[in-house]
Amino acid sequence: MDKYRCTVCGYIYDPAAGDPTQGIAPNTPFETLPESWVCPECGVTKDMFEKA
Amino acid sequence: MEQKDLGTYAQNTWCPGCGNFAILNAIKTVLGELNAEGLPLENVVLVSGIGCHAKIVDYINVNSFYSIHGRVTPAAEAIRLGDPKMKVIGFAGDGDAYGEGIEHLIFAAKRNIDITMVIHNNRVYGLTTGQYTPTSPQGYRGRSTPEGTKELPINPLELMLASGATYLGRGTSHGIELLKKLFKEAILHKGFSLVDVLQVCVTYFNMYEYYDKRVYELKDHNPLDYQQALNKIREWDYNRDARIALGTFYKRGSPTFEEGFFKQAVPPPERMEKIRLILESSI
Repeated sequence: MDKYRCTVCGYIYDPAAGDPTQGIAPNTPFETLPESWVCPECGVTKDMFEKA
Repeated sequence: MEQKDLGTYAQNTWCPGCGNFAILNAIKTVLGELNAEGLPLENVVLVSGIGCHAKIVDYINVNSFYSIHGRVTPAAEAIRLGDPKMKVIGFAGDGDAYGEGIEHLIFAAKRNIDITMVIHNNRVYGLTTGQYTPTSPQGYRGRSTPEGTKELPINPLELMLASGATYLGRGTSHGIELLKKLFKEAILHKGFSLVDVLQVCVTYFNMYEYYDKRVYELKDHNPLDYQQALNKIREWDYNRDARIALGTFYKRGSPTFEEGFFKQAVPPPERMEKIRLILESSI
């Protein structure tokens, strides 16, 4: 599972950790995050992320 | 004081995708690194002005001072002069530092006082919903200029170079790694340093795509060479379409204002007597 970096703020999505702030369980791959998911740091959508 | 995360409890209210996030995260990383290398965080003071950028001090857990519009620079200078231990980092917008506060900036550069200025240059007044600033391109259509501005922008780096700044760099909010490098260099530089950040306002002047197409990092550039720095700074005038250089344009060692200033400091017990003698001798 790849980590992804937000190109706006530098936040790294780590699939191993998930994102508890938006109810994303650990071990959730970036690709399967819902389209409504946004960067927990700066609020941009998934399309602003690239592979870390 | 030691801590891994320099965040605070304040809720961040910048727009999603705001270029300020890159500046925030870059400066937090750099402060963390400097702290690990031995800089006590209590010796750091952040100063901000008025504008969206100013909220950055709410989001970083070190000492800070909210100044008024255009007055980031003199507040930072005063803190620095008050205590030579302090690393003072001023955050200001383009409307703030290049507009109302431009005179302060010129004189701080002229004095070569050892402060760092980070300019969130989004080239628009974002907080007041989109009016043109000193660095908006000619023709910018905003709330106050529905038919487009008639004026040309200033080139702030050219002005700062001419004023005597001893460190000048430029980055963009889409290049966080370069921002970290520039911020660290600027903070460690002895003397007046300024980093102009082409920070994107997603709401009123979204320039992500524009900058992404034109920016490049300086290579084989000698920052000690004034003429080379000037040429690279003038390559893009903040108006016409041209390649936009990023990196360290200029860096020069020079005595700082406070080096001469602190020498004359007299400890409190003898201070009154010294003042009396000076006054008597000049009457």
